[in-house]
Amino acid sequence: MALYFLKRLLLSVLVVILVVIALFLLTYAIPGDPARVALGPRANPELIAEFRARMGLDQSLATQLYNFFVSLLQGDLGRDAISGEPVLNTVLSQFPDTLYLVLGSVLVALVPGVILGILSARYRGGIIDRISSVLSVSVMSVPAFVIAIYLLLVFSIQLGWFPAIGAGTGFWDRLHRLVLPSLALGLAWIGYIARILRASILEEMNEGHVRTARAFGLSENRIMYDYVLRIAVLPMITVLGIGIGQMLSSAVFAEVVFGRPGIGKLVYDAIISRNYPIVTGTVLVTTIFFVVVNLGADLLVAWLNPKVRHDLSR
Amino acid sequence: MTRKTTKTNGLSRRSFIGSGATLGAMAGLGGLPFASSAIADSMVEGSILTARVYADISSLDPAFWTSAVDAMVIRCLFAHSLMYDTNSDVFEAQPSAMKSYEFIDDTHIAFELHEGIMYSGDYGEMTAEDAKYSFERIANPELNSPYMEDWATLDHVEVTGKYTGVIVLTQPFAPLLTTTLPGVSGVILPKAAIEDAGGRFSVQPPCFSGPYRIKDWQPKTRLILERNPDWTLTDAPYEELHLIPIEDPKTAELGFEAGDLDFSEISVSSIPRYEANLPAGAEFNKFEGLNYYWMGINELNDQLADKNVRRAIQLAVDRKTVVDASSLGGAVPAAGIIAPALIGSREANLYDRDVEESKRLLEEAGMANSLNLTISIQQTAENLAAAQVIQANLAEVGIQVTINQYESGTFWSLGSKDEGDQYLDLQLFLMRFSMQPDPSWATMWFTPQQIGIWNWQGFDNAEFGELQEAAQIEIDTEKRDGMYKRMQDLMEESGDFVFLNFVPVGVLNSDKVQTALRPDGEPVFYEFSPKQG
Repeated sequence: MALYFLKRLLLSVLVVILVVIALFLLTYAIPGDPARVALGPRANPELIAEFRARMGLDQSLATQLYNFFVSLLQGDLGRDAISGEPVLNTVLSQFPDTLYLVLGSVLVALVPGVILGILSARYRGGIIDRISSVLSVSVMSVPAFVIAIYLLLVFSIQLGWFPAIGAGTGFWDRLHRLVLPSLALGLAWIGYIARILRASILEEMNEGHVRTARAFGLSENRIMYDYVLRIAVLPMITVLGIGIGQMLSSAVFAEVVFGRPGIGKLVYDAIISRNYPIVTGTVLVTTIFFVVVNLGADLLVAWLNPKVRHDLSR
Repeated sequence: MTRKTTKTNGLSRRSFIGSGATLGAMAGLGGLPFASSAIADSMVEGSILTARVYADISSLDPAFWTSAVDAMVIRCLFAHSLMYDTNSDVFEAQPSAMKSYEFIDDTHIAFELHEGIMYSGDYGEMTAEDAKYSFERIANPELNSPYMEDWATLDHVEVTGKYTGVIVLTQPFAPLLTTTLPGVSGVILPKAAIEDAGGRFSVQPPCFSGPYRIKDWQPKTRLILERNPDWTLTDAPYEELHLIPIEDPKTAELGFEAGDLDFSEISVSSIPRYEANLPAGAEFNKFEGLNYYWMGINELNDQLADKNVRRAIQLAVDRKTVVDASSLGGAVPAAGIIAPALIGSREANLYDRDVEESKRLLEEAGMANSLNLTISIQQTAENLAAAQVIQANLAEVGIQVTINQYESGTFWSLGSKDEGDQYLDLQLFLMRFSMQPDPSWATMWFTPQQIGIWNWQGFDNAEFGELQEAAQIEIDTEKRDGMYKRMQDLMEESGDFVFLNFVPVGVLNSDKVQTALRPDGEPVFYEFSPKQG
């Protein structure tokens, strides 16, 4: 298990390095001068040259990449091309809001998704299964930003139950403002979770150990919760790991529509203004988060699944 | 500027205070307290104004600010030499940190500062030495400030007393009173504070001298300003100003309607909707802004080198339909790039839609039904609507147009020489420039020196360049007016420009808020006040 962990960890580090290199190449390939965007129309050639020198933009791509990794090892992600503030501070100030949003969305997706998945499998072909199936497909097919706008119009403008914009201050205010964005991002995932769990439960129901449990006369509830679900949730955990990455990238819609701060909006604005240090820093932090979540999901699956655990220990 | 409002606003507080200041000065009253007792009642404890700004702050140094939001915040944090009137139809600047000023002659302007304007920290009281340092700092080529041109003809500032001095110019400078002193370049800061900050600063000012100071800044989330207890020059009615950066105006509109914002500028396309149907508890004001919108025609492009072809394009465009489509009826066609309230504003265009003449010119140029062009635009609904109408207009005269949409970062590099020869490939494009209340700001981008920088049309006219320089130092208003009109005639005559409109500004505010807006709709937050009762 330790060796498995080490291998996965090294692979994760490699992924992060490759992502940063790819990002550097991509951002510098797109047209647009960060100095001109940052300094505005009154920038003169001397000022542009000074800006480029200050940001290291006058150096070759390879030198910039090397300097970035050297700084990274010292915990320095550079400085915001426009405000001059440390990138790490800016990214870390935005990250919690996106993290809360993603966690809220996971909660929105997970609780109803698991309940619907179990009920659909348990009452396969019944009315709950059919309703769940129709609902899942409908919600999955609507883009998150459309859901977001309708949620805003109904619950903020018409009913006035929830604030429309901002992340709030203090626990309850933050929670209050998290409800609609979390719903907007998480709703589509209810269907995924429910369908995956349903399929997985049904597959597991036909396994030999479940038939044996039935033969021993165990109750259906006990079989479901003690024997079937423990294995059936494993594919869901893997999908959820990938889903968190998907939610991170979709967060930009929720952040723009709900006027929330966050990583998505930060990187979107930074791309528009060619603020490369912020783009690189944000993507780096997001990639590390995504890789860590997936590493955690894989390790959890390995730990929960006796078969994988057994294979790894051999 | 034309201001259209759903309610009539009374006498502005600023003009009242301005009158009081004048009377006070006439009566020989020194110092500041004359204003305080009259206005103290409007200071409401615990009051908070929550307003949308379109971007986060990026630099609050008067020598290096980058956006209008920076300027709005700087206005709250630092005492300016002069300040524009608010809730007025014309741009007129009144003394602010300067108690008075007087032209000794065209190149010598004597000024006197108010006593008792205090800097926060240990930087003491504002003096004429600070004015000298601040003005000369921006003018100093070694600092490389993008705003150096605001003090283009500054020779030096002579300090004649603790609070008095003389601004000495090498030549007269017309924008001095219209944009330099009332603008960010007129902010006065102490030398010691700037030096303590290492010569320049970004978002953490070393001291404050204005009505508000920064209480808390969470990047991209909110900026909270709190009343500056040292400020006594005017009132600061709200105890706190919460400025929320929201890029997307549609999001801000929803936020306003949900009651999360007290004030917000709205998108141009939403102006007709709010004019027709105002949410409960809201007030709406519309302003004809200063920012100008036009279609550029690049004469450096091979297909557009013939002036007759460019003229044919000018004549084919139905400007009213284009403007209606892009603003959904919120704006009217413009007769130039200088807004009606400023000197130099023209009353009519030289060329209007004439399809038959357009076809004739194309025929003469041998381009009948054979011209395929591109129009480059920034990716917005307004630009797309305008481009589609232009596409249809030009199709009528046999010109096929392909619309190329770009995100802003890429778009703003299209006409730049620094990016290679792509600026020669540019053909038609839609542009919008921001503007300050002096005509020189509108025309400065179209001189021959600006070709391949901001003059994407390749408009190369020596007379225009000469007039640009001459108009800067011409202080006879009538002559100056004629110069800028002539410059716009030259622009249109070249066939390189189709003037579309001045971008209207629509603002929503809660009916519990008394706004203080410049004639172009820009908010002066520190003058906002809660309505009583």
